Amino acid sequence: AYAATATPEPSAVKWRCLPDAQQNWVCEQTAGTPVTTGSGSRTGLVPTRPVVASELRTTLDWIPVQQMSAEQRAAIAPHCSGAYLEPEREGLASRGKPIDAPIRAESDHSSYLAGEQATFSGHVRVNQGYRQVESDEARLFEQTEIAEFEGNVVLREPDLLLISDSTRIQMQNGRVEAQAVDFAMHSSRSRGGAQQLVRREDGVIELTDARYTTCPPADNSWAITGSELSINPDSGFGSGTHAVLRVKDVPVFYTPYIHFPIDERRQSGFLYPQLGLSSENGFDLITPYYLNLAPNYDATLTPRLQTERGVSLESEFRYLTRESEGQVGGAILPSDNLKDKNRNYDEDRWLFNVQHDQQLSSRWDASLDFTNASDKDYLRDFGSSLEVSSADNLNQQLETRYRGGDDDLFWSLRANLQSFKNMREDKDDPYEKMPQLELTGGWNASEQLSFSWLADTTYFTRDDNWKYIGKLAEADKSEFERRYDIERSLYGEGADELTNANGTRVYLETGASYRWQWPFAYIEPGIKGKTIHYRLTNMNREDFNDPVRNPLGLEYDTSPSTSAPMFSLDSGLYFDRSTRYFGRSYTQTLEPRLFYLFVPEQKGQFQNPLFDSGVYQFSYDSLWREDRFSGHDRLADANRVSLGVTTRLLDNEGGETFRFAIGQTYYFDDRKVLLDPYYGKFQDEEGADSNLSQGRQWALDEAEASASPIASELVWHLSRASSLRQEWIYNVDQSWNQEYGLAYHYSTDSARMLDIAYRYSKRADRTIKDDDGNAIPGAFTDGSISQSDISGIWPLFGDWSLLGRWNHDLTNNKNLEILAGTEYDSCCYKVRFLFRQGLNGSTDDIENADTENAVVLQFVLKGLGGFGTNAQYLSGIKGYEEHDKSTN
Amino acid sequence: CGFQLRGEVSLPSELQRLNLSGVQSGSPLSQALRQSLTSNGVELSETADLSLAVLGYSTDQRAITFTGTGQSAQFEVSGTLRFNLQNSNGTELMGPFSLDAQRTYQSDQNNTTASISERKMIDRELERSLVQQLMLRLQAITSAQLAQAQQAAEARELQAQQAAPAAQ
Repeated sequence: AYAATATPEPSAVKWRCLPDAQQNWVCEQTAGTPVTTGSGSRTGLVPTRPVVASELRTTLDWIPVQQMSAEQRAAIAPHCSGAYLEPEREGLASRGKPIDAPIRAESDHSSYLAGEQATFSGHVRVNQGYRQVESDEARLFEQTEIAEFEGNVVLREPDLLLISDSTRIQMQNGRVEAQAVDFAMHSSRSRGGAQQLVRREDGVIELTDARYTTCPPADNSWAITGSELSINPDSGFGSGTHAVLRVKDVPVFYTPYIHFPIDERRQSGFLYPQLGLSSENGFDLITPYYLNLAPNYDATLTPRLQTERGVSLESEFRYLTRESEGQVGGAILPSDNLKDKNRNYDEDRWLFNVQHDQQLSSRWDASLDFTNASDKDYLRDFGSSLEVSSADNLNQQLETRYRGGDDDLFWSLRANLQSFKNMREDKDDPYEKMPQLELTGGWNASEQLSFSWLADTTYFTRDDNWKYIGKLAEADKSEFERRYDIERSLYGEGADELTNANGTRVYLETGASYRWQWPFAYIEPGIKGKTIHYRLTNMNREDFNDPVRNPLGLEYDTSPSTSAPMFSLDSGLYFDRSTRYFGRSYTQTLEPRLFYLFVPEQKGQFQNPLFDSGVYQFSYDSLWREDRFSGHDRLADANRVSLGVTTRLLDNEGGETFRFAIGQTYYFDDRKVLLDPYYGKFQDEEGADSNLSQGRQWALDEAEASASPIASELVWHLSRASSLRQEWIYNVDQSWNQEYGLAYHYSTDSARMLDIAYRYSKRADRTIKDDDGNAIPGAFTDGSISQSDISGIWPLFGDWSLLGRWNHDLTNNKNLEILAGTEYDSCCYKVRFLFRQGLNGSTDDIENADTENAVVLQFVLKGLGGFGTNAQYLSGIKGYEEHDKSTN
Repeated sequence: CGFQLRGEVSLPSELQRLNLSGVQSGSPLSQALRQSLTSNGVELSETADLSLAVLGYSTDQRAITFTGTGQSAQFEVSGTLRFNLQNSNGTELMGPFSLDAQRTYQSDQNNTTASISERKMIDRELERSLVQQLMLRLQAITSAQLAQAQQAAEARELQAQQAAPAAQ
């Protein structure tokens, strides 16, 4: 029999229900003082309903920034006018499962049937643990442990606000079924609505006829709607079928399946469409599609439509495990439709890229980096969001390294296989290392005495057809197609046979040094022995007998070798003083340094091929180097002393506020060992891209100069926000500036950045070419690099920013790149509009270089993320990625 | 003009025994650090009370000048080294400090292997420059600062310990 034990009179009733031994509830009216009221005056009765549910449906706990505390204000997302903040309430801080906590209920009216059900009506509020439900009416069924709420239902759990017309909760497992729902998830900064909502036992929320957005309430900038959406707070991702992206309620994009992040556990996401219009590719639509497959691997599919070329697909798969990380990616455009100026017309265009890093043990690692492309024009035509390490030579490398020994006696063994895909039509193929074995090591015998060694054995090889010369001169301009395939010329026809050499090189080096060190000075003498041995193949003995083919009179020698000792003495002094500049105290240092180097000349090194050696770009560091050649093919003779001095201003924390260093090398002997045997023998090459004889004359002058250029560098941190760097190399012998670089950087935060740079590099004159791209014999112009580069991001007003770059070539009075754009950044989306004009690099002479124009429109839907920066044009703006990340 | 030869020991006694962590043993950076620390009188020991922890080291390369046709001509390599000082519990005492250095080199498109050799040298010089800056940071630290940082760290540890059971 039903027995109502609750007061029938309208008054606040409080109940407390606890599970009994059979896990059934037993409810009782609590001893709490019921608030009695007169009829008609209920406002002071139940202090539980701060707002009515219908109002809460539109405000959803959104607190405008004006009503926030300073602390709350600091935590809101950039460009937001407020945030979803959970109000203080009973049980908010409660931990553990709600089922283990007692139920407390209160209402205006209630009735109770012991063992069966309790019925509440009028300002019902039920609390259990962290959960709180308010409604007009409620029924609690004791045996089934089901609670039903009707009318203006407001359910609160940590991070969740759910308003519905009716809700049914299984108290035991937390399953919720609700109708006509609006909800907000505070930490996800998101909200949504649905006709029906089911929160499953495992916490996954399933929505029917749903809507989801990260925009503030009443802002309909964008939303995802779907017949079925599901949200998994555990994994931090949502998914759905038949989803439509709406912008201002207008459907703009349909997808049969969608997967998107709901919180910030990963900076990754789904949609990042880009609309572009380019003079070459026509209308260009890029719509990356992100698939989060598991916490440690994901994939991106990027369909791209270029109206002039066709539809292509780029895909990328990334993974991360405890011992490894990597990615596999590729792109394909079947049958390129672009006819005009495209030597790959009707061809399949593709790119493949794989990167893998593996930690095999704490001492042993391995890595693979392999990229290949269908043709030399691929990156120029399409670019890539894949991580391609170099655009000129695609790296194809497998490398493994083992580090052994301890900190005093250490060694490491590296095995390396490395080849390249040459993406330039006017540059030589590089040598490939097939394979390279390198053993390095050292022994710190005492604090002063240390030994070092290096053994490198490499087999260098390349195809006979590695040299590209005179191609343009021979090219028929009317026949654009596949020029590089046809015109590829063979080197070795009447020239230096050695450069066709392949073979094994063994390089051994061992040294010892002894360091005396005091707080105020150090002296470190060192000795080293170096030896190079070759075993060469691919050389024709008869060619060496032909004076036309062998103008230098080189010997036919398949196993040349060179050995040399080296003696060095490095020393320095430290002075300092306390000083004040601009009202701040600093420690100023003065550090003179002296470096002496002696290596006797080893003759006959022209017999050595050039496998991996070049001349270092001269810089301040060059003064202290043991060698002027990179790689191991030449042992540079030296009898020289370098003098330099560095001064620093150190702040109280040891930070380098200012550094200036200047120095010069003085030569006691001319440098006899040259890199290129032709330096000593002038030979004009008609139609060459640069004035070779001038370049060679400079190299010879440099070898005979009694002093090096003066090298200086300056670094000045003007303030926390700005810094200035300058590098200046002045050639005393020739009385000209050899290298100059000045860079100013300003950034207060990621929203405001400015970079201004000017760079100059002295180069030999370059040939002037006629309209057909043929070099005009004897016609030269300045080939030096003189370029300015200005880039930055600057807030304009409100949520608008300006971004851009201007990279200008002063020598040729030509813009390398102009990029100008605006960005609008709001609480839940970002829009970018860009204009770009840049050289497209499709010809290799400056006079006829083509420019390409493009306009681009990009959307970023915040909270749906964006996996890195798909903004290829923006990578030229230094610090852009930080900016992009910080505002997502 | 006021300059004097640098006086005796520049590192406070607490820093004269350090545990170096966060760098792979035997790597060039580790060797440069060890060499620099030991020659400044630091004894490296895994049982030391204080740890010099390298939080991250990365290099980044970008093209800074171009040929007249838009191909890269010179590269800038930037190196960033982040480190801090930790007590034996791994609690940060000082830092994190972030140091950076830049170098430029020429890309020889006709001789890629030589450019790779040059880049290798640049990397070593960047490491040395960063290690030098790191030593200057260490030398500026005083015993008093360290003592204060240690007290603050202990207070934080205590707070964390008290908070931990409450959260359970």
